[in-house]
Amino acid sequence: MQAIFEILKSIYPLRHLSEILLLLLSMVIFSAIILGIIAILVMFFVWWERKVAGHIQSRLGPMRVGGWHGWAQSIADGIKLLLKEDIIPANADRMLFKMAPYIVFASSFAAFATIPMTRSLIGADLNIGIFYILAITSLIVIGILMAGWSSSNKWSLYGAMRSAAQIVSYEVPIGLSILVPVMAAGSLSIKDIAEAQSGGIFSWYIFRSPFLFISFFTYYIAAIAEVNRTPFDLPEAESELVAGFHTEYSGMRFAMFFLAEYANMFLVGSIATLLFLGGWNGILPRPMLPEFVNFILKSLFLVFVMIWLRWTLPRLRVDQLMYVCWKVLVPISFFCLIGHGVWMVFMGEA
Amino acid sequence: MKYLRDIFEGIWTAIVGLGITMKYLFTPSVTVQYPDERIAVSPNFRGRFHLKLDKCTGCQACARACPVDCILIETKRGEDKKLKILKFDIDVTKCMFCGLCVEACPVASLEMGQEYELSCYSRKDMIYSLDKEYLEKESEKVATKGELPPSGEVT
Repeated sequence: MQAIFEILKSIYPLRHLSEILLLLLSMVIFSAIILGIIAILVMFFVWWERKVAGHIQSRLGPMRVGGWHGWAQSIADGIKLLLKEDIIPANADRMLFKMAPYIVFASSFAAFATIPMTRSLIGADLNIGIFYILAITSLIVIGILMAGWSSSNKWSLYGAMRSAAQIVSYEVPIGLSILVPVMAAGSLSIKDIAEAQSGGIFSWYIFRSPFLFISFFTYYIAAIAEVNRTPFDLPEAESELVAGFHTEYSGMRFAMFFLAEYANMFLVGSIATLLFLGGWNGILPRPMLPEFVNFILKSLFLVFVMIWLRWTLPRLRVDQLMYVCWKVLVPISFFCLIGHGVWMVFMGEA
Repeated sequence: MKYLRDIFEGIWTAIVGLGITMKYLFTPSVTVQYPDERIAVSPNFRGRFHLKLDKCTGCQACARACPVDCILIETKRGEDKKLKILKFDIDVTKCMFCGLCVEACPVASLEMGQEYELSCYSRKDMIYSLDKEYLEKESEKVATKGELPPSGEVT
């Protein structure tokens, strides 16, 4: 955002505007860029997920819209959702019902403010960047609860309750496993953490110590649960709860939930990339590809693994879900946290 | 100990499952893009009927063999003592494509072809007038050839 601000300042007629106005303008431009990137990626993910799902099940997936392998399927779906009737149930709490999808989307979108896609493409390099992301993504659960409560539908409410229990529980292992790279880099700023991993594949945090290696997996599994993806998709378990918290939503409001879900997938992929897989740093010590390409490729790979997992594993039971969180992930991430502290002391990295 | 074994087993079974799905991701899919490509049907497929009118003697063996009585044949004794076929209708709304009529035909004039896309917009279109169809096809052949067949010749 700083770069955009400088560019705007150097353009002649804008120079006479006040600083605050320019700052606001650069904020708007930056969020438009990020929104564009997310929207394009989400459309790609939707198509990609359907293609991967199809091929895993020996089908083809979408093939007809747009010619080549149905590439325009997501665009057609988007237009369909735009044109759909916007239905609000008669007994719904209209205000909450209308607000919920925007809160869910806004909080997942706001998290991208501190994600450095390259060294310079970053909204704000906060010194508490990763903490900010943890805090802002916790707001998603409020939106989901609002959606479930205001629909006045028992399935929605069940879904929302499950979602609240799940997200709040899984935030604990996420926080603990994020602390390990934070400890390794000695900073909460995502940019500093990614910067500390420059210099080839073996300086990525995942390969630095066995504890970082394990905590990558605990983070990734817990994060999949956090974004309600299969095998942890209990809040929207279609075979039990119709569609969970978004049962009553249609048209554009449903599209907002959908957009938020896929944006969250990308968010998880990019956080894991930045904290463990070297961020924008390439595999070789010398820069080979542009920073943005490195970052996107790694995040896309992690998103692909999420899709792959979804079409491999069945859904967990509620008690299994809580078992995995409290009895497996939390102790392991604690172990990694302490283990990495000891490792840093004895390997002289502290 | 059971705790660790459970975790290991969970991870291991997930990896095995992921391996299977990855294998399937790269095996060619079985889908046939139907309107663009079709599976070749078996040679003894029982599809749409065809009648070789020139061979047909009008003996009604097919109509008698039909278990649902969907074949309607009207004949007239011609001057050469042969039966002339005035009407050969198969009502496919009744027909169950059992193929008994084809088996019953003593001169192999009734056949079942390979076509299976038989849907149509009107119930009238489902009564196949096989004799008229044959005549139309013949006249088309003649039109494309541009010459008349010698009279009395059986092609």
